[in-house]
Amino acid sequence: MLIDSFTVIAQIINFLILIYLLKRFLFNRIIKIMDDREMQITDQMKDAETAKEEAQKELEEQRRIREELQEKWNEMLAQAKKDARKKRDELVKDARSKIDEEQKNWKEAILKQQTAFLRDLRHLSCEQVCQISRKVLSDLAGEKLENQLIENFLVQLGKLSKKEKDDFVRFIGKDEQKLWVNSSFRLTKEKESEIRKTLEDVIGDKVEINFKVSPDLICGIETRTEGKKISWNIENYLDGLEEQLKKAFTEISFQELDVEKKKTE
Amino acid sequence: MEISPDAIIIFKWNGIHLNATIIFTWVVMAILFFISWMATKNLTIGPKISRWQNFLEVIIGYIRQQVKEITQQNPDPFIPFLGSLFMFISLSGLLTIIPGFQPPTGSLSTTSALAICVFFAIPIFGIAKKGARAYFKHYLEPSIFMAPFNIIGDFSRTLALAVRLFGNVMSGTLIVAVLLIITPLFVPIVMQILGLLIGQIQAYIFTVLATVYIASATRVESKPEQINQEEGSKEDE
Repeated sequence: MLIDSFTVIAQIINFLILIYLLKRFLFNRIIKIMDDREMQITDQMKDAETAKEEAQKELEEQRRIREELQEKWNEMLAQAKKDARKKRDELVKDARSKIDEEQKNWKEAILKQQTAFLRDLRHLSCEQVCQISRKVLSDLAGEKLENQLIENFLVQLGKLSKKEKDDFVRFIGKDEQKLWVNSSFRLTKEKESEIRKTLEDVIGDKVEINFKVSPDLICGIETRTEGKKISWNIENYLDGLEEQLKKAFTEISFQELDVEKKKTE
Repeated sequence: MEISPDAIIIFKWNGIHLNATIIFTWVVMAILFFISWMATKNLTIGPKISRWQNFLEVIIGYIRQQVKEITQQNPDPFIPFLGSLFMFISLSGLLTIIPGFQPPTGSLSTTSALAICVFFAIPIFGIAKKGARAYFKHYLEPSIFMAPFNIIGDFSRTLALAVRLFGNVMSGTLIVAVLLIITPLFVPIVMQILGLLIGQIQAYIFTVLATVYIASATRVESKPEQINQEEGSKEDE
């Protein structure tokens, strides 16, 4: 017989024991572990998904912030450029006005220098002309320049027209009735009396005539009241010379300026 | 020459005679228990697991998947029974490679015992799942006249299970034994390899058939949508 009843029963019992043992030691544990792992993996994946979403959000946020910053930066840059341009314009304007002022001051200084030089030149020229004239007169004609001046002055007085005489008299002070005769040199008594006589002839003898030495005249003689004078001196000749010199200076200085401008360019 | 290892009596005492079948069954059981105990001694759910754990997880995972596919239900209640069946038959077949080992499944007593276990497991699972009334009702379908045939079908399939497994395993062992006599060199090795393959296939067939029987007994046919919902809710968990 192929089937042994004792063996069958024993095998059934054996198999039941095997089921119990394997269930206890293998299946329950392994299945639990597998389920736990599956759950853990699911949780982890969920977590990862959440983390990914958060990261995505964070990324979006960062991107937005970066764009904002970029925009702000651009704005600030534009503002800074604008400010810088404005500042530059202001500075240029300032510099230009300063330069203009300097130029003006410089021109004024030049003009002052020119004026001073001309004054000095005039003075010097007068003296030179006087000395030369004096020397020429004494050498060639044996005459003194001063005498010739007085002679001529007297002739001038004598030549005055009626209207000129009236004008002159009118300016003599009513109360004081004074008249000055200024000369660059001391007059001799003879000459003084001669001049007094001529003046009395012209304007009458009611006025008091004073003589005075005035070095400002350089070389010459004049008679003056409060508001009017009759003079005969070398300065009258020098006015023309001064005009010529002024013109010449102006031309020279303008030429120099042009040259400098070209150099700087 | 013995057809069944039952005939090899190793120990005899007071009417109790321990034959080779029982002894080798104990050997298989001991190996299974030892492997399980070793593998589950320190289980981890972390990414680093022991090789034994990994090996058993693969096998059990595969069994679960198969059972789930066949039953269309949560496989966990059936796993200890079906898993033990498969592992016992499979290991018995595998150990034939060891000279002198007599597979316990080559004994009709063992296969009968396993078939009897399946025979009783079917109504137990069916009643546990559907209740006694609903379970026994299916014997009366499609009509009351079919009840005897249904009952005969239950017995015949149990018999078929036992004989199929016994025949295959016994023939494999026997062919090797016969060939050893005729052509002692090389040919028995090929046949032994074939025997190994047949042992695994039989383990699979036996388990799958048991699964199908249990599945048919536990299936709630009238409300298929309810099954789907249960499945869905379990998968969600």
